[in-house]
Amino acid sequence: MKNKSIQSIMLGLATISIILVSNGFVSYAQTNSSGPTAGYNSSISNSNSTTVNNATSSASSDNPVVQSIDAAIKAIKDGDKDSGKKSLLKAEEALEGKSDLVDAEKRVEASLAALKDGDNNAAISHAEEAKKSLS
Amino acid sequence: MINHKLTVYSLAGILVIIGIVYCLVANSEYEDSKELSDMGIKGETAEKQFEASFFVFSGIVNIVLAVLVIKSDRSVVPYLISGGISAVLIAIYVASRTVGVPVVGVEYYIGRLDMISKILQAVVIVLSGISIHSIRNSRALEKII
Repeated sequence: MKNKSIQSIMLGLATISIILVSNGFVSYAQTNSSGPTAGYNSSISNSNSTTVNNATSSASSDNPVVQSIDAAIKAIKDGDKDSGKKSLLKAEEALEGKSDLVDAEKRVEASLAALKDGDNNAAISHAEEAKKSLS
Repeated sequence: MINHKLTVYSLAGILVIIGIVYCLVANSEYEDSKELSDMGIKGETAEKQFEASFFVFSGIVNIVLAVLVIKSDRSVVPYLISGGISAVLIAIYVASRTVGVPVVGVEYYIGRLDMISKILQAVVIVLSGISIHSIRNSRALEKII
């Protein structure tokens, strides 16, 4: 009986530990999903919109894909998710089938997924990464 | 015995929840595939359809396992399968976010539903292990008696 009680307590503790550790991992993954650009993402997560503004304006390009991504970032920042999604889909369409730009395409897809999940910071972060992959 | 029953029903409940989560993700992927198809993005549409099919299949497997776990009479097989499949699904997910997997390649975004399902799958592995241990202990006890 005593062993069973201990087993139940241990099971409960193990479950709570897993949930707590995993929650920590979720938070980490959401804010650091781009790996090498962790510092950059952190600045976005901290709602430092100045950083995003600078990054967007400094990357103006003649490349229509980059322009679409820039438009998406601007729309997301303005709270217009539909326009942001349309611009990202436009970029996705332009990138499809280009084997040398797979990484940028995957970043655009990640941005779309984040936008769908309501995680605007991650959406902007992945869109910025897509632009970096194109340069 | 009461603890074993509690573990079994908890495990079955979690497997059903995982099945539902997979079906929700599959529905989301299917909606995306329709949208992409309307835009004429064929490659991504096929990828989304494959993912939707895979998630529906995984969801059904988890729900079937929940039934097997409840119906099993002191057999370790359903627990071994549940733990094994959960471990494989976690491994596939980790691979899809790191080295890439066939058809889909590397995915960069870690969604909320993804994380919920992985946490629950880790719990399934733990509960399956506890159940197997409990069954083996009771068998050993029966032999002694």
